Amino acid sequence: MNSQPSSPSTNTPVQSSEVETFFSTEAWLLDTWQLEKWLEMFDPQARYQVPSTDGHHLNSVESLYLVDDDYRQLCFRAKRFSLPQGHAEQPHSMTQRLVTNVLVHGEQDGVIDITAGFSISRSRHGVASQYVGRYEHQLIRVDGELKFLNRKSLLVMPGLGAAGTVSIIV
Amino acid sequence: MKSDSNQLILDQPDDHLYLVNKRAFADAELFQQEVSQIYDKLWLYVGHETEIPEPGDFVTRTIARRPLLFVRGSDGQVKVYLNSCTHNGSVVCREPAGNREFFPCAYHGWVFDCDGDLKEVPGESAFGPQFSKSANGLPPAPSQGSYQGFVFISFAQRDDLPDYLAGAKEYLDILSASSAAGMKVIPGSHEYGTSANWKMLPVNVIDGNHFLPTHVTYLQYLQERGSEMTHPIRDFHETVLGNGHTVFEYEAPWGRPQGKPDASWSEEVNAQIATRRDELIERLGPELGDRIARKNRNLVIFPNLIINDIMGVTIRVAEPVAVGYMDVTAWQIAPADDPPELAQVRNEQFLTFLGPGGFATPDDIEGMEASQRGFATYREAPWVNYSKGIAAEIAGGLTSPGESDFMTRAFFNAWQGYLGTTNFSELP
Repeated sequence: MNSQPSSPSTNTPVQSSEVETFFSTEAWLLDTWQLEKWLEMFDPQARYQVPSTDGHHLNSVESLYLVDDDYRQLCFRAKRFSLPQGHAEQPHSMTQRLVTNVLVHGEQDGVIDITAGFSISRSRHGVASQYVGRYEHQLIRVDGELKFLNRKSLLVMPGLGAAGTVSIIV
Repeated sequence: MKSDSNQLILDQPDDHLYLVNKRAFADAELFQQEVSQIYDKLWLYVGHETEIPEPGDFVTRTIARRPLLFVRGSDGQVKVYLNSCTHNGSVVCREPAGNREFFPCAYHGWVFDCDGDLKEVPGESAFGPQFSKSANGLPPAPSQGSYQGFVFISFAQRDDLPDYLAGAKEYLDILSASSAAGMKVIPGSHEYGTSANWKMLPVNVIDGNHFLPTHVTYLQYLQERGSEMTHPIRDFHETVLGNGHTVFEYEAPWGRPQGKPDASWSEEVNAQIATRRDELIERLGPELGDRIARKNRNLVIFPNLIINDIMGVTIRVAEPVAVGYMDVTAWQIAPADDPPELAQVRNEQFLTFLGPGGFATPDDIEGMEASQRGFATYREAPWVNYSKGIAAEIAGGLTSPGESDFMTRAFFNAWQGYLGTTNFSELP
């Protein structure tokens, strides 16, 4: 999607309430560690991307991202959470996500551009940390259901700081 | 075992023992000594020349807690300045990166140029006739040197960078020769904190012992994507390079976009990688060409520069913030001419192992942070055991990868030498 989203369209078949439910469902599945169900929200052509905190405007081929998963990598990322030797998330962090400021920017050739703001609180080993940022997602409809085509998470942070890793999904 | 729990290191080869005091990672006074004896005196890595290719290109960095301006001057020369106004001390350049001919200080309007010269002083005449702009340029770092594009500074007066780098120079040469088009740092950096003492990062990199227990899920990823995993780590050399620098060089099962195909990559990409290998052998000869194409290198240049030429090539810097916390910045350095399809494979190979979102680095961080929490037991249970491989060393036998703490011992021996003390009771 463009880094400069156009004004929200008022004439689009997807309703904000449907998108908000989609985001709330996603947050629920992630916060309750239902990763297999979460994967069903993705089209097999999808990517999950997290640009570096100092490179929001850069493309993933010419710059260094934090995460640039195709679907195969994403499936392994989800599976790793269930592996006893996926140490970084064993035991799992406790997370609570707030997703808000949802905007539908329009639909072109079946691809729906959406932005939202997020805040994720993570507790791990007795320490709380925070991820804050903006989603710039692309969704499509498959058999009537919304699916991720590109799930892009821009961390609006000076660096990861004490959060340390993106070992959870952000 | 004789044990004086005030010793930094207990080195008893006859007992096959080499123990480092946990307090070395957990004592705030020792940390101050490390700052003054190591970070205030040795050569420190600042950045790579390819990060600022054009005159006026700059990045700002914090190294050993000082704000620095790393900038390419109008003459094309790369310089490191202390980013502090000669008037009131304010940080002059408050942007992380960019291109500027002039750097105006926001506070009182003094203006410096990209050569560090002071160009404008509002109300200059009021400073009197003895004031001279030429004597008030941005102060350069006390010492600066560069090797193969890697720029180092020291806060002490010294002019011995090549001698200091010692045997590490060969490995910077090897890295720089990895591509006929040259190697360049690509945009975007990983910036993150780790709640562990700064020494944990270099020690993690030279410690072959942790690989299997820590990274078993990464090996599972390689297997599932279809990489050929029949060969273990092989053809390895661990080398102490002098002055605390070390390298671990080996062939691993996974492919290398610089010259070793991988069964999980497309035929088209593997053909390009085979061409890269041929080019390396043509240009550098069969021995060095094959070595670059096939082998991985974990390099530590004491104290703050870590270069892993492994699943990808990453430059990492450890910035000590407090005894139990460091800031880490990491970049990817890559051939300057990788076509997009090769760059994509290279990035996949890099990001699935390396970085705060990889399938491996977060597990290293988990291990380092868990160690740091454990080090709080130093009063009751003082020792970290780095004795692996001593018995084999004394017997003259070779050890296998993951069976020796040889380089970790070299790291801590050098560290103790720089500190100039062997016992906590002797700390100033």
